[in-house]
Amino acid sequence: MSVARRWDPCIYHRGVHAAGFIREYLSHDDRRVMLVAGGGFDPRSTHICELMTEVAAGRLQGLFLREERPGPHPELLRRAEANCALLRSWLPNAMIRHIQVLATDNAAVGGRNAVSLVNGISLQGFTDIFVDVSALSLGVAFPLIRHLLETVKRGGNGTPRNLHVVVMDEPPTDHAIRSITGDLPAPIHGFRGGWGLHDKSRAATLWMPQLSRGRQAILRQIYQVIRNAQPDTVVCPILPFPAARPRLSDELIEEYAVELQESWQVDARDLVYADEKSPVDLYRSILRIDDARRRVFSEVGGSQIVLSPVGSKALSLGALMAALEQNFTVMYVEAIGYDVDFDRLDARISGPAGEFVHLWLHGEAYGTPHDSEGAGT
Amino acid sequence: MNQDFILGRLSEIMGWDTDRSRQEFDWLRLMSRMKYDGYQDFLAGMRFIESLADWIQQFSPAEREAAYGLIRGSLVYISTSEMNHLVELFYPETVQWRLQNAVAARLGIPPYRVWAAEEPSKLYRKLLRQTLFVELSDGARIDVFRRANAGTISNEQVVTAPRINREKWDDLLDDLRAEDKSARFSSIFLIDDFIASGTTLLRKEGDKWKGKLARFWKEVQEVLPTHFESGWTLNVHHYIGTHRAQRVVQERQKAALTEHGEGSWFNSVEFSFGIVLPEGTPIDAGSHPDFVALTNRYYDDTIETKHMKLGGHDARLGFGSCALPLILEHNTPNNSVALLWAETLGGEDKHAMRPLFRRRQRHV
Repeated sequence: MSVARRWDPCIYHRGVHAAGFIREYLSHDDRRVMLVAGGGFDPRSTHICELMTEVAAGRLQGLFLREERPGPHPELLRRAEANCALLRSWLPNAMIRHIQVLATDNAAVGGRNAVSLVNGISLQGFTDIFVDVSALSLGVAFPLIRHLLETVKRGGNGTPRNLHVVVMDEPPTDHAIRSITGDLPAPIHGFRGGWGLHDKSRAATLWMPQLSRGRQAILRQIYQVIRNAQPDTVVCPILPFPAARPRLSDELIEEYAVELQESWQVDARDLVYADEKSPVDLYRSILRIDDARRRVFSEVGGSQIVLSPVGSKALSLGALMAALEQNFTVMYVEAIGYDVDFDRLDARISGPAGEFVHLWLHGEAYGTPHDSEGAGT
Repeated sequence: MNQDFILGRLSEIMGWDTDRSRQEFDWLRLMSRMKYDGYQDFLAGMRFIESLADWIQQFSPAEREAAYGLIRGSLVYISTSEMNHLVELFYPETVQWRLQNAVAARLGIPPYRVWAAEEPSKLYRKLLRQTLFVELSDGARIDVFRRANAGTISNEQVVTAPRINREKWDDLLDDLRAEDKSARFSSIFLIDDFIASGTTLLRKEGDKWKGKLARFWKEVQEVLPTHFESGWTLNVHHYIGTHRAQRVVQERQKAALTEHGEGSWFNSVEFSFGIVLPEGTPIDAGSHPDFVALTNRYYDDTIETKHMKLGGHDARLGFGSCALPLILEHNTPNNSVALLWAETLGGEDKHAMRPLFRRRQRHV
């Protein structure tokens, strides 16, 4: 028997359905929209804003966050300026704000700073908030979404009722942007879950890293931290299946051979598959595993799930939803900079655009402003 | 059998040096453990690596690299976990979406409003109960489907036989009417595991349309006026489909409707797939010249049974010349390249084909 979920059913769209939804939904004159997005070098900074401007011009306000990290490459700055100029040409009154992602000791503070910044901005009069995570780092996007979800759920006069998350899912772009990471894996601000709490000290820990190309070093760092805290941590890696390339999960198994066989000692039956295109599928899979583990470990210290969504942006939203629902720990290493393959990035710009994903997290679609988003079936 | 021992023999068979052996052993150990050893037809002591050693030896030493290269670089193997995941995805990603849109169309509201109020949610639940799920073969994994949707889909909505007699139709309707005395069925989902050429589902032989869809059309006629709402919808879902099948089934449905005319064939059929194998999946002389040469050289046409000939008169690249390098954990499709699955006795100048993934034949 399945357990009632907060986002089951979930209103979400992909590709032409997502663009179709935006065009229909925002065509209504009573929609007044705040778009919160990244305003950086990432070419995905502008796509969704451009689409929304076409439909909701005059009813759309933009808040664009420029993530600041020490010593950026001049080309990254040039591209960020160009993207911001484009965004301003569509939304002349847009707010462009700078956020320091790292403290002087390299501690990740971007999420906290983003929340603080948004908290100081009036959302009165808007019906809908759209957070576009395409060009935001997870360390900034996740805390921001949690804060905005709590804001819209709390409600109040003139507060927006609806919270949406959108992303331009482009794995090739993700692969062209390599994070230069510090050496401090830590829970994302607001996603500590039970990490470090005394009553979780005996909990059976399950780590669910999302495997993707070129992220071994980051995942190794994170595993080390988790294992130091919980030596008996079990690892259930998440692989993309179904995927546009049916051999992708095999290729990842090969790429992570050492980790799977030696470091993490993963049993073949512990591989978790999640539809490359569906964040909601990953959300369901994580919660199904959590349900089972809660029962098993209820009398012997409890269960603790730690997520590390370092792969595609679309799938990371599934991890976000699961973490929001069950207060899971999201362990992450903030980028202290980016090593960008500009040729690959530009090749992607001239190629076909990625797929647009829309998730409706809270509001009218669920008929309730309260905790239970879904109507259930 | 000790794995190191058989790896050593394989290295000799392949003529690998020490470095190459180390590299390949890592991959073979990993993939056999994570996926390939799960193939249901492997015997104890004769799992993937042993079967590979046996299979490779049917080729001359100079040809073995081409054979191994196909397995190493192009094989698409769908494991039990992957297949089960495709089954689990079917209801939330396909059925729910279809019914949500059906509710929206009936009530004249946008689909995103369906969960916002009681009336559309109630209609959704009603339409879901008026839906039947029918397996087209035992590959439909109805047991997994039932377990994944326990509490959402009733057992009385799930039909585990591709042919439904009148008595069964009446039982299904009685079960439905136990909850609503005037209810009729509003939609059907026909479910199967795999489609490659589309021949088994729908084909034209001479001037007749044949296949599972044609058979279902005949069988459902008797109960259409009494058991079904007007405007009921037919959906056909395959967990795995090829790019070719995705196109072909649409074309054939359209052609069958044109020939039969409205009222004498399904007005519309919605096709869906859990995963579509991309256009570049089949092998050919351009992508795999050396392996395609092997398929010509090591071919025994005794595999061309009456059933195989439905797909054409040459099965070296598999049924319907689909040329797939595809293995499903429970059985290898006959649309896969014959060298992967065929087993023959040979003789009379014909090569005795040895399978890597032995296929259990459904049709003899």
